[in-house]
Amino acid sequence: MTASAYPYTGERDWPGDERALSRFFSGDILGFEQIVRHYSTMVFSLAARLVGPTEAEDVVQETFLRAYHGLGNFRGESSLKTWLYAIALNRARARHGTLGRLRAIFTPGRAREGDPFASLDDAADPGSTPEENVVLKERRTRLRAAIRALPEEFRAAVLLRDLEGLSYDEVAQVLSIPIGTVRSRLARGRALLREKLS
Amino acid sequence: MSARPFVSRLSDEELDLLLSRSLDGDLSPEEEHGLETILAHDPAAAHRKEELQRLVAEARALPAPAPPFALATRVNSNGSEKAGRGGSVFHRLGFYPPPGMAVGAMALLGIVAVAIAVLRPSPMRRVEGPVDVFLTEGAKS
Repeated sequence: MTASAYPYTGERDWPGDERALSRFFSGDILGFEQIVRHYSTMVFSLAARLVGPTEAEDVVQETFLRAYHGLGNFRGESSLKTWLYAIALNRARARHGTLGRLRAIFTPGRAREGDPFASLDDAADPGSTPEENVVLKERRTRLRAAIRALPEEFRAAVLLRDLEGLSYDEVAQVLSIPIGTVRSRLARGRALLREKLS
Repeated sequence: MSARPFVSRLSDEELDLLLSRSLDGDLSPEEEHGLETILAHDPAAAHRKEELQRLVAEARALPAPAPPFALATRVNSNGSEKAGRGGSVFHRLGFYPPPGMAVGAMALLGIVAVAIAVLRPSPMRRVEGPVDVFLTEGAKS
């Protein structure tokens, strides 16, 4: 990855995966900090879409903590981006598993009430009328709810491909599935969404 | 599962797969041409494609959730702190107990330990009775 403006943060001091990793492996913690600065927004985006923006920061923290401890095992078979996405996806899933429910019990104050996704607020489109913005916001709310209601395997494919913009190859790497399965899950997920929203 | 009237072998699932791949530019030129032929002769399939196209465009236009201010700074400072302490064991499992809970747990353990020590029945003391005295005196003589 060359040093260039990154679409998520616009940062220009990103040296690229290889140089940041090499810096980290040589014992310079700044290498890892660069990785965090470069990818934290991306990880937050996926996390917020999976668990809601309120809990997303916890998922981000857990993701990078795991990444810190696991970078020694990173072989470079996938990109750092897809590797981090995979960790984030697992951390988000864990929050809804048995361990996640136990965690909610033993970390008081973190219990959320109401819709955790309610704060995913869309900014108004300056080129639209207020009425159009209301309609647009309602459609987006319905779409998000429909995506969240998809079976997990289809939801992950749709989130990664259509909302996060990953390629088929990248989705396959994140989910550790063949590309053919990516195609079929994506098709099925989109079809279910179409049925629900039409 | 309904077969397409024009190409009887194509099911709804197969059509959905072709449409989905077409939206991603994943079809070969031959497959794309074949799909266009189907859509040209099947208004229902064409309508299906339009709905899917609109849906995917809306999904792709959904704005990315904005991260909280200074997220990376917090992640970096928390990460270096937790990675160097024993508490990182819990954090690896995703548990972030508040400090009060850790102190409370230790206090509870201390109370339990004290309670066990206090309430544990003391070992039976051998009380010297007449028989023991007799035996002892007998041993002396």
